[in-house]
Amino acid sequence: MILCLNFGHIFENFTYYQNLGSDLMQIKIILSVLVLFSITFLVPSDVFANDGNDILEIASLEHDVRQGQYNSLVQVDSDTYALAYEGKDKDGFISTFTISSDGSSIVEVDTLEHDIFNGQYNSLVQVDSDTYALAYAGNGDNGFISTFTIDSNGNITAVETQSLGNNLEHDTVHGQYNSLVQVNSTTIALAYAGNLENGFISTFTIDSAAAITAVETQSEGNNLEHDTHRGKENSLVQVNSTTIALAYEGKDRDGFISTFTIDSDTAAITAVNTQSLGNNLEHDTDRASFNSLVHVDSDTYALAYTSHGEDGFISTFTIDSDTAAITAVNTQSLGNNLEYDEVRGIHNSLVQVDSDTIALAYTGFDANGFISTFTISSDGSSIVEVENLEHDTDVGQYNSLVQVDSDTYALAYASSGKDGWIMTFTIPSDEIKEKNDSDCYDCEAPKLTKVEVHITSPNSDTQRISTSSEIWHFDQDTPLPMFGDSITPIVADPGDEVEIILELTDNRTLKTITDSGTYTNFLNKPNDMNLFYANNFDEYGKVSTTFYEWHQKGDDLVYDYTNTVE
Amino acid sequence: MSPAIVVIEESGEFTKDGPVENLDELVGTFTISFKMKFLQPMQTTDVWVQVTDFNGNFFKVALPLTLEISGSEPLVFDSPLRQKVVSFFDEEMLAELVSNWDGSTRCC
Repeated sequence: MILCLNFGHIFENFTYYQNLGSDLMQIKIILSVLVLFSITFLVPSDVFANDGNDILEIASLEHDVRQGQYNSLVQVDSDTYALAYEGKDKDGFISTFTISSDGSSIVEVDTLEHDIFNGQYNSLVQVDSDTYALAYAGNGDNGFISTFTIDSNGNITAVETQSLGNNLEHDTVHGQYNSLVQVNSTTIALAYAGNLENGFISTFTIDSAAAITAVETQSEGNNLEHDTHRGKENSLVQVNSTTIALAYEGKDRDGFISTFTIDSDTAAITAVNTQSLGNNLEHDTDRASFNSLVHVDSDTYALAYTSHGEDGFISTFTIDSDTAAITAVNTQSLGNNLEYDEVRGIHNSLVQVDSDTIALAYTGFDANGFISTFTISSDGSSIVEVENLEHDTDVGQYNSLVQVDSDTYALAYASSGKDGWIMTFTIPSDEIKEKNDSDCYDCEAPKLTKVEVHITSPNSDTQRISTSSEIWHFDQDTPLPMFGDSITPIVADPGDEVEIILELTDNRTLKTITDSGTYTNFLNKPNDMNLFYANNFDEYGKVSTTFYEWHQKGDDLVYDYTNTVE
Repeated sequence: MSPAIVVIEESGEFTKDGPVENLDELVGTFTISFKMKFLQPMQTTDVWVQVTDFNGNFFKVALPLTLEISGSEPLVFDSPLRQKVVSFFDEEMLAELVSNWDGSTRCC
């Protein structure tokens, strides 16, 4: 009996044959160690480049040393992820990974070569708890739909695939630039570039057994040609249970947004705002490739795309959930969108972080890999870049970014040599919130930069004055001063003068500093202490009985319960 | 306590390795000095500081130090406070003072 062990893509698709017997356990142990090593050692020397940035790289795994392009990454469950990609010889692959919630562990679980001819322009979606549908360009660049089941452990089973000879060729002419969305529990809708690279929308139903049925498709002769000029670089999102919105590159390579409704019972497609109806939105009159559209807030959508000179842009729109009407908010057509990278911004992959934050993976200068975060106001009128990290100084293309947990993200991308990588990042939500506050005129407290304490001691015998000093400098990266655990005891004598000097900065002009005080001599509140002054407490609940408050407008407030100072 | 002294150094000129430019495109520092002359001993205690800006943003934190005023207070004879004068005489002189005291005069 022969045992065939496929070591996956970690070591050049190495296939190992071994007689079954007592060596089986040893082989399993070796496999486990190799998988662990794949996390620890297969890290290119140039990829870890945190440099104090708030976006931090956590772990990376080179899952395919031969090729890993046209990535489409989706979450299976809390720690399992599925990736459709173009691998060796441009064939189509599905791989699964377990990724810990903190991003520190990435382990490849299973790999399936589902198409031995071609596997480009992948778009993978979850249909139900264990069923996944993939739209891709297969043999002859024609359009195909395949289905798989993926269990909670990440084990993949082909259901209708080219490798099984039973998948659906939905477009027998052309099927590139795919973008697939789930409309409801059984219906999926696909935007793609079909015949003559025109724009098409097709629909399919996928039953609980993962069987595919073409509903409105080119193969059925009844799908919707929504753009008769061009329909490339598609990014489709669901607006509600019956409405979908599409960002794409249309006539003259310009940027357009269109909307459609999909009947929840019949999966019939109706154009609402489209080129074919002459009423869609041309948001960029120059060009719009590498589109990535996401839902930000109730009716606000953000689009990352590439325009003139391959520069990267973010635009915002509102789409009415009832009427599917599209309104430009910040766009090139209005002259107010955000150019997020003036050098290059291609292979965009945008994800929503929360109601006003988005994260973008893209290919920037010199084809390097970047991650940026942006805050977007609820009405879409404000787009502000928060952070930017160059995560791969070699190559970072064919990005597909997904959220792992509240502050952890996983990116599938192709690095040097077209190799396939998975990398995890953390983007601290607190940091984003803090940056969000920059939208407000002044929501930041002053910051201490330096504290000096000088003790001046007169010596009555010698008539000399001696001075001792302590000086602290503080980090400006934190909203409040961080002192650490080191406490300096200062001892003086009666008759000594203690001078405390505070040096600070603020996010607005320093002329708006209005109050400052110093508080000491903390005691249990004396019964006869005037309550007007008894409101400055230490962490033990003791009250300051000696303090001085400076007020820019008004008299200074001086209090000394025990007559300790003059 | 002496009146606090405030010095604001602020300009529109950015300096390398200097303070970060703020949203008003200004760089600079605000410095405030508090002076206190301690007359009496004080047990070890924290020192807290507070700064507030025009829009109510503030910090109030304990400095990384403790302050203690040890020893006896200085002799200030016009001070209304109780003074530990007795401890400044040595035993021999104190005995002489007590033996010469006839009780005919009352102090204070």
